[in-house]
Amino acid sequence: MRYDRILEDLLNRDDFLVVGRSVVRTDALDKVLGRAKFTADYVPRDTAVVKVVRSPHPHALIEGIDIEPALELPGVQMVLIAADIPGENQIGYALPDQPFLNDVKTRFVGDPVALVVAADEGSAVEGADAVRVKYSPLPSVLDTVDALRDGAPLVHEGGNVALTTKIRKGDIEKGFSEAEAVVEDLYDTPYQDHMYMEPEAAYAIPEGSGKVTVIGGMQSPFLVREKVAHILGWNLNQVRIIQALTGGAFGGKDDMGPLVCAKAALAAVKTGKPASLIFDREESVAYSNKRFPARIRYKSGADKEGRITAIDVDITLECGAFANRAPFWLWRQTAHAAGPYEVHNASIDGRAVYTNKVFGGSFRGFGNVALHFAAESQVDRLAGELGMDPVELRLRNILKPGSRTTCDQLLDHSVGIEECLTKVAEASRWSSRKRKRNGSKVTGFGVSCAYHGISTSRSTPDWSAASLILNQDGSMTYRTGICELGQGAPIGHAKIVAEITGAPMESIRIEVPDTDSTPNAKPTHGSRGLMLGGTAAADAAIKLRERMVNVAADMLGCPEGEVDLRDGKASRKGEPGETIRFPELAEELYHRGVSPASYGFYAAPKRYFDPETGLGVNYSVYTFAASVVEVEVDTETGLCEVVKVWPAMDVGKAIDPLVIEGQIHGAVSQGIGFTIMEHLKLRDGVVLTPGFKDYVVPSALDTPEYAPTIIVEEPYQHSAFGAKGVGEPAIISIVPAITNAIYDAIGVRLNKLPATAEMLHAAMRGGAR
Amino acid sequence: MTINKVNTHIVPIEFEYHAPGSLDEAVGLLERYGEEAQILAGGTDLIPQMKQRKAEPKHVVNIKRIPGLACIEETPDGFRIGALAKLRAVELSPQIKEKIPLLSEAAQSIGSVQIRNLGTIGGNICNASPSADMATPLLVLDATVHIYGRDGAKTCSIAEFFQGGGDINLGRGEFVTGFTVPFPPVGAGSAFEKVGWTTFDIATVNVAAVVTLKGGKIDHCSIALGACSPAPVRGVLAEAALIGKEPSAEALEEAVEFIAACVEPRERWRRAPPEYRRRSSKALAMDALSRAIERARRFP
Ligand SMILES: Cc1cc2nc3c(=O)[nH]c(=O)nc-3n(C[C@H](O)[C@H](O)[C@H](O)COP(=O)(O)OP(=O)(O)OC[C@H]3O[C@@H](n4cnc5c(N)ncnc54)[C@H](O)[C@@H]3O)c2cc1C
Repeated sequence: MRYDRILEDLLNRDDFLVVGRSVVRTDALDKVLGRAKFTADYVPRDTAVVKVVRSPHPHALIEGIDIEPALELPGVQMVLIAADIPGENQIGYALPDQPFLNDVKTRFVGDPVALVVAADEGSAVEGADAVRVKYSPLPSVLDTVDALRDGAPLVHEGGNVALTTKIRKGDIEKGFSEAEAVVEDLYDTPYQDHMYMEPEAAYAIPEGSGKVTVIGGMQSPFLVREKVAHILGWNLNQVRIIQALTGGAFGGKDDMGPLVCAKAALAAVKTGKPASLIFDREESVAYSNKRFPARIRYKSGADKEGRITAIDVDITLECGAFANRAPFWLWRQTAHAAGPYEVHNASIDGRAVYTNKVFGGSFRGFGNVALHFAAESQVDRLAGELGMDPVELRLRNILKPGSRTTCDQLLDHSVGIEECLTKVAEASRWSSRKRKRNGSKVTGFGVSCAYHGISTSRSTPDWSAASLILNQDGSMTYRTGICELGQGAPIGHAKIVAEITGAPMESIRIEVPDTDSTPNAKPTHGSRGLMLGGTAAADAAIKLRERMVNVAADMLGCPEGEVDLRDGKASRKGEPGETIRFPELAEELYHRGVSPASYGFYAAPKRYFDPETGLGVNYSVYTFAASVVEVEVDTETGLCEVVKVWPAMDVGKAIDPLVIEGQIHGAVSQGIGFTIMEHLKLRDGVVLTPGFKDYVVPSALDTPEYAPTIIVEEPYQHSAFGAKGVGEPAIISIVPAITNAIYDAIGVRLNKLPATAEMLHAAMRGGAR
Repeated sequence: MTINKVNTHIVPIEFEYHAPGSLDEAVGLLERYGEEAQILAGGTDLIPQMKQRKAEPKHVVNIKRIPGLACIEETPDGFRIGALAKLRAVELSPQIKEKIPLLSEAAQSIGSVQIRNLGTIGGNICNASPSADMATPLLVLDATVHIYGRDGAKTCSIAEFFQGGGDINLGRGEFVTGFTVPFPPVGAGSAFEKVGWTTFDIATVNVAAVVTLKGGKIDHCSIALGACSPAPVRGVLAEAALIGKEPSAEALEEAVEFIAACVEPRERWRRAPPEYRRRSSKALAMDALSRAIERARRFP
């Protein structure tokens, strides 16, 4: 099925009912009125509280754990350590390097050692303080340079390099010899915390013997189920996971969901009573996963015409204490290294390195933020060297249908970056832009492009499932394992279902993901929630539609091809007079024994790459974005304000323009935070800024003016209506567009983020560059 | 190294709550409990401090039931502003906007609307933070602080009120009932400038300035700097350097050179290193003085 043709081929309609229109989300009112239920809202009073006992040392051997003093305290019910784990004491995501509770050594400040279960918060805190852990501190490595030195202390046996990646394409020596300009630099990007409004939370209820239910914040209920079962040593069907509405995730809860839910589950199963674990802000900022820091050395050359002739890129990723998602993250950076440009000669090496710091993990953009910061700074510098306009140089290299990516993947369709770039340049009047000076304030303009392969990295098999039931009263029950995290992906699914079946949006109820009844849609990450999950929804809806049409045609006495389903009614096309309302149609299906339920399944086209050269088909499709940014920098204080943003994105097909705009506006703020404000400070592995006061994120008042979002639609043939993911691509181009604009304003390029007022101030005065 | 295991959405300490209905009742409580008592006004400083155990009062004395402490009144000497006047009220008062726009400008820079709807001017000053945004305007305008204690009402100049290092000039049992803020001299131009990490943020530096011109020369000049020293301070050397001069670019450049000598930023303040505060206080002083002069020039 070519899903971009559903409208004409299947629905036989000229226009959409709900797809492509901005609708009021069906969950909006509950959220605005505070009625929506998040994890903590499910926890009854007097539920036992779990607290984590954590290592105060960046690196230490555990010589003994004495839990007795804690058990003597009133209120403390149980203390759990590694020996109490019935299953395997291992919760690493990609590599088995992350013990669930440590009993041998700890690898970062905050590494868990024990769980205290107590009657209330206060007793749990006192209990955690009372557990006596005897540590013997080890020398630690706190940055990648130290970690890579000969004889450096080892975070894990087997060396501090967790893994490496590479791509070899063409001949870079030849490429550089053809270059007129060659530039090379080092780009450093820091940790970033997700700062979701709702901290990590889980509530676990033992259900008799051999079954536990966990309600929590997460992005992948089925991954959580797998990890909880693994820790408990149980079968998958003994664990029921329910994803409560999640108050922001941005990737963070993909990794934290299993860690937090498994702790609550272990406590509940061991005590036989419900237990809850809710992080406070400090725990969340100090001990939860962060955006992986990266250091990228990037060398690139371009000929007189501005064609990029070669790139030579070396990526060092800081894992922190555990690899977690590093293999996927690093591979994504490697595979996207050229940016959205066609470059025939490329050599790329990557390594992920352990340190004794808080572990990195999933975060919107997944490696592409750091990578594009380097790649797009380089493109601007090449333009500068060649005296060429930065937009012009980009256009000369830009990916088009028929182009090949960094890893030599042929892009045969759905490549809209050229249109994105030309349109933002036009909208922002790029060619007539003027730098203005007003007292100590100078304005500058920057541009950047971005591309992001949709869904999981490393060519892992990718599929999604969904189910749809037409109830007797004509209403519909839709189930997907794709999670609502604020982004609205399940609402997008409902719109797809509404479009295909003709059911009114209000008549479709989206169930919360529940592994006991919801089909496995795989994770809500990699910007795949709408594209993969929505296509499974389309599959389910098409199957149900066929049956509804079949029965309706019989009732109306017309050929199936003439049945129109819309507004909860079936009618004959062109003859809206005689209609069958859905309750009646549903009754008839049940009556005739035609199944009113359908299961949708969708598998993405196969992908592969050659481990030797890195070449292959890495992602089934890419989303493209371009942004122009105007900044104002105060040359006296170094304060930088992002004044205006012109965003453009090739989304394949906009299922809901308002949701896309929401993603872009949110991503701009997150990108502004990453570039010029957010600064996670650590000393000896201790996070010094564990809260909103010291780790500042942009507020509503720091939001720039937005030009209308330019939506480019180059449909993807294999997804529902041609839609592609938008969540991550939205943030990627913002970061380098800001730094390019800062350079335009004041002639200073900060290759090390964040470019805070203080750093810009120092750089302008010839200090740290 | 501490690992905070205390859930921050609750106040983790026990305290007794009092809500006196009169000034004398409040004094009685404050005298009785001394160091163990702390006044609660809007709570926007105090409550977060209690959540983080940076303040652990055994007795919390809410003064909001005492009548008359939230006034904003014009008198012949200036404005009488009650300690409990909300920052939002100071910001929006049409009389203040007209007669002392500096106060309104400074109030408007504080936090968000929600914070300004809760926070009071008395709390802002009595919290004794070097970065309090209402402090520099009160300093340049030579405001008077009204204090109430066992012996009744008394007053103290704002400059004497700040003692540095988080201390204020209040004895046992005493508290602030309000401020008198004199009108600026006729024809004065004023300006308030601030930098922070974000727009909602507290200041890493703030500056207030008031200037009048006479015959093309600077006749009156007062400037104060916040978040650059253990307490908000007047830039007296810079003031002296400008009075009697024509407000030329050179004169201003020369004057702000003295700013660095007026401030003493501390190394351990985490939000910005001393060097940054020193330089940006100079830059902000320049901006504030230039804007104040500009506004004074508009006076016919
Ligand atoms: C998110 C946020 C942003 C903020 N932004 C800013 C900002 O930009 N600029 C800024 O300056 N401040 C800022 N603040 C700090 C605070 O809001 C202000 O200082 C506010 O004016 C404090 O007033 P309050 O009434 O809430 O004080 P409270 O918290 O009630 O009291 C503060 C202190 O003063 C004492 N006190 C209060 N009233 C009296 C009195 N009448 N006599 C004696 N002692 C008294 C209290 O005991 C306490 O120690 C911010 C706070 C938050 C939470």
